[in-house]
Amino acid sequence: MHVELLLETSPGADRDQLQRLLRAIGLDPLPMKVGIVLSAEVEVLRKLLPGLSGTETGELSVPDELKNAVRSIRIFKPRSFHST
Amino acid sequence: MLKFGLPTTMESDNPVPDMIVGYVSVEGKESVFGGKGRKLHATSKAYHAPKKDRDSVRRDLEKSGFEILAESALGMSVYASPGQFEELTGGTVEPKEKLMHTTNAVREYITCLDIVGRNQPQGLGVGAVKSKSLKIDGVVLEPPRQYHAIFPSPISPNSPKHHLRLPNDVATALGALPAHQLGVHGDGVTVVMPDSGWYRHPYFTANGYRVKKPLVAVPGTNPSKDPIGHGTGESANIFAVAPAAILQPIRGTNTAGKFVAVIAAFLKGKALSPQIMTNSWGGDGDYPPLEGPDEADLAFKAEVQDAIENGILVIFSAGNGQFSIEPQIPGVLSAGGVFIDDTGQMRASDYASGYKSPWFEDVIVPTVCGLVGMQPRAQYLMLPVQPGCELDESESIFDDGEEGDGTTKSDGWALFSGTSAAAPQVAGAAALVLSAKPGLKPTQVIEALSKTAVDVLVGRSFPQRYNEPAGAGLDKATGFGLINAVAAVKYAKSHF
Repeated sequence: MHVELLLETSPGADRDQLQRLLRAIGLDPLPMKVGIVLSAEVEVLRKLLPGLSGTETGELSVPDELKNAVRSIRIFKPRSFHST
Repeated sequence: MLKFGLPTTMESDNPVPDMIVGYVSVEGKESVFGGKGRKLHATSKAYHAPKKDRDSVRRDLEKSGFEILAESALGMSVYASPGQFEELTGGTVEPKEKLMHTTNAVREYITCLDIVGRNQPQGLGVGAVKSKSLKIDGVVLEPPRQYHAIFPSPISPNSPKHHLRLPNDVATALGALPAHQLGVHGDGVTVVMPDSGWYRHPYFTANGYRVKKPLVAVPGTNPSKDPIGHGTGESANIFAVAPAAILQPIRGTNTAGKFVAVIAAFLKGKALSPQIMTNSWGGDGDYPPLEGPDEADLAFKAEVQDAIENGILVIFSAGNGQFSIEPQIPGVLSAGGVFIDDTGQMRASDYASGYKSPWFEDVIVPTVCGLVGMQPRAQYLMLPVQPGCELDESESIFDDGEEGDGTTKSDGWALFSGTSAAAPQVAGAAALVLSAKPGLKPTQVIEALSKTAVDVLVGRSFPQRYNEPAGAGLDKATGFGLINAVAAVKYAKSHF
């Protein structure tokens, strides 16, 4: 299962360092204006969030090692195509 | 053979396979690659290679990592990676699509491999070696048969249902043909479209449309496939209005066709800094909403607004009854639906969302409209899709109390629309405006399209949820109305 997470960064957080940290554990961070997106399979994201099932909604708890840089972690709601 | 103007070979979006089967011809008295027009000898003896040379070539190839599959007096069948073939020849292995006759007299584009580069022969799949001391006459790459694809017709089939054909019906209804007659075709304007994927349907090739190699947001997915058909079909709407625009598709679906990497696809598209991003998708939530947008949506809103502030015109479809943040974001050009019946009468499509934003002041969804069918299925535009994809199959069968679209489930054509079609039509009109008047800001393009739209007076937006009436002037069903491309071009030229 593929999931997209928003890591909302804390004011003054070193975003470059946070991205390096995420890359170091095998994730591929995509920077946004207000945070970082992680778009990956649940198995990959478990490197950061071991308890992730992929069926959660809303806000997730921030791991201790990220608490200085990340204010919140949220799951993006699913989107669908606008055809039939 | 009749090819409908299709080229015999064209670029391929398929990846090069990990391993390739090839043939290495060992030098004999004569070369088998003597060039076109030269007669081959009556017997093959002139091409036989001396045994000592074959032994030497075999040793050299095995030392370089080639696996020898079979051998004859002329050469040997080998198995190696593309890199090993490139090392041997000094060229580059590239995929190419070649139009070939296959089973049942069907003409298909088959993915073949070629070796290209300096000193490489013209023939498809043929390579020369870089070292003359190797006693190798030449190399031939066999086509990787796992990439065969069904060949769909570049000409759309008919349907018993009232529908519009692309490109001309759509171009006419949206006022694009007169713009083309003025020499405005959308030249050089890049439109990024994050969607389900993109399949190089012969319809696009036959019409000469320019499409960049699709990008993927989910690692490992095939950039040449569109398992849903949505991205391929709806993208045809861009070219119906702006035939010289350049499309950059971004696939956001996984291998199973689930639209899972939506935000990533948008961000990848934004990073390319195109003039236009068109998005035929969105979320859904309660209407009227119980609360404001959530934090994740607000983060995405900031990203969209940043794109707009950096000069990208961002278009979102209004939704087919859905209510979500994307089309409401201030500065976004949202695309709703107008239906033209078989007598030429216009009305608001009851398939399209239309409302005043409860979240952002002065925002009405949609801003303007494109062409969208009516409930229950909005089967309205005959669009090219990957043969046998989800839409090819689902639109061809009975559903919602209606017959199918009259096409087969694997012919590479399907009848559908939705506001998904309106967004790329509007993107096409915007491309015309930007090619006629380069450098306009997104607000100026929106102004040109809004001020010149054709007012739609009847019909209601998605009645089960919004039921807003169309009426004179700006309304909550159709916004400013149906876009008129040539009028927007003229407005931009005279006002900016």
